[in-house]
Amino acid sequence: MLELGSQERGLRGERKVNARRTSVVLYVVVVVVLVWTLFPIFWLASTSFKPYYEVYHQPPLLAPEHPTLDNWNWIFFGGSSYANLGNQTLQHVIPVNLIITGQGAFLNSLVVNTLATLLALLVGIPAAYSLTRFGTGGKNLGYWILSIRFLPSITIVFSLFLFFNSLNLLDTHAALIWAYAGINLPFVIWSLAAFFEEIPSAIDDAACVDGAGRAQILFRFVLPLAGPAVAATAIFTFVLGWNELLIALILTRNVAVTLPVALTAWNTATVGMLYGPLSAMGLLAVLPGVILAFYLQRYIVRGLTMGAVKG
Amino acid sequence: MQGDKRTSYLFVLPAILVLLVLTTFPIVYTFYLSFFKVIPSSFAQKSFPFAGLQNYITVLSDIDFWQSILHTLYMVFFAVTIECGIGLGLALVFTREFRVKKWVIPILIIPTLIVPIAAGYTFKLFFTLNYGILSYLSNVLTGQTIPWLMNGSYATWAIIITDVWEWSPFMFMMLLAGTTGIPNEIVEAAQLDGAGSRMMFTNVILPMLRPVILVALLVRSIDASKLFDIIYMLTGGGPGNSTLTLTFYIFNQNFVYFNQGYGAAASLVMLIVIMLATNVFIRAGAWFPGKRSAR
Repeated sequence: MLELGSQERGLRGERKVNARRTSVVLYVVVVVVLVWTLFPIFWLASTSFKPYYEVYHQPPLLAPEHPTLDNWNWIFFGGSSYANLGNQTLQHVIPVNLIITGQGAFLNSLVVNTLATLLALLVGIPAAYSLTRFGTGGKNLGYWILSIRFLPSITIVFSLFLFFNSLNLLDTHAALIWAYAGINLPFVIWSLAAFFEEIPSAIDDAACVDGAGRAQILFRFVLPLAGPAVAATAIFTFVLGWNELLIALILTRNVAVTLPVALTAWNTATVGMLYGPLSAMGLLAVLPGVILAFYLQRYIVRGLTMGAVKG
Repeated sequence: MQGDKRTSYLFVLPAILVLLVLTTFPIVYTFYLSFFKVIPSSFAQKSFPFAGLQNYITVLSDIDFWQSILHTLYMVFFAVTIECGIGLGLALVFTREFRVKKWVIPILIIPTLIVPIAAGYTFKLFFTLNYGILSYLSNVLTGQTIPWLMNGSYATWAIIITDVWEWSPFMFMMLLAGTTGIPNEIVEAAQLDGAGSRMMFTNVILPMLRPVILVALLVRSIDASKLFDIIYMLTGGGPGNSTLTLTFYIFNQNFVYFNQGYGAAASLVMLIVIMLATNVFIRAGAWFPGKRSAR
């Protein structure tokens, strides 16, 4: 008996050591992953406050030695004191229109994606409701919509270019709003369908008995219940558009340029890549994603798989 | 309810119209263009000379086209495999509870939510030859500078590394959702039966995760095959054609060489491949309202 007891004690002690060892491993892993994830963003932020000569400093500087707002000044107001550009004015270095892109591109991205998201929701909410509650169009309609989610936009972007060109809508907000609403619509419909499905249709039936029409049921009863889900879907749609490059690159030129497109413009033909202002603008473009991560984490698995996997 | 049938169609009609005009019609038009010789001068005349199958013949006999497909497959295979490995490892680590978990997870998903072109730019800053932090580190550690973006195979791996940074969190979140979905009773039962941690992994956890892994792999592979933004920033398809992917090949045909007929033909080939993959995916996912089972 006594032997058994001591053996037991020994086992327990061993387990404790093991547990401590695994928790050390755990925290090492967590720290490594956090550094791997955050270092690029930290580097972006750090570079955006470096004066020109420090960007090219060897060894690379973790933090700016002489922090400056030059780069930010440049992307917002077009002013710069970059030494090596000498007496070249900014107009010689990058196209005139891009001087405005700090504010202009930010506003464009904001306006285009807000309206595109609203449009996609306006069209997508009733469609998702109809698909889940009535099974409209059977499986084929659903598959058709789903397959568009995987459509590579490179295969349609030239057609879209010709289409909006024939409507005289190139380089306008309207073109981008319609394009993004269309391309993100399958995502909106499928995400919402997954959420609507979880709302018992008994609610609809009860409202129906009370004499409410379908539109009324959807907007007065079902939608408020799905409120957080609709908000998450909306924010996801916004982020998808905010991050999109290819279509905006082709459909815009000067006026309706969005942030991702504006970012590409700092890779100039005359003086190469302008790392300072690019970092500032990059940070500006990245911020919404960083902030929204905390809100979206509960929905990200559902969002990215449109409800196929529940997070 | 009376009139439900009409309402149900009215509700989906706007969506169908928007999708037809903005996605399906452009595909049909791409298909149409693929049979015509589209050159800038024919734009002015508003008519394209008919080319029959010439575009397809040209594209399919273009070595660059086949190479771009190989490059795409190479990058997708390695990027998605590494992402899946990292995601699985992290998901297993994160099944344990620890104090700061609530704060760590949102931070880890940041890369998937930020602008890909900005991620590409940041990594360009790392990989740049003379003042990038990576070339500095490799110089200090080995005395040699790796010409990340100047050499084809290094450049390919620079792109893969960037993609891994951006998308591993997606795999992680998917598989974390999968592992938390495994019922505790099953794990405990296996433990009682004396399963060690390795047996637990291969015989219990992995089989339970299979459907989720399958969905994750398919979604990620299809999305990764469209890879464009990172390459646009990092290499522009170069050096030479060494990082030219299929998307970039079509982009160049359409907007650099202005051979939109070739671009359209190549687009059609890409569409067919993606559609086949999507089909596998839809069947695997059991993805229908009321039949969502993957968990």
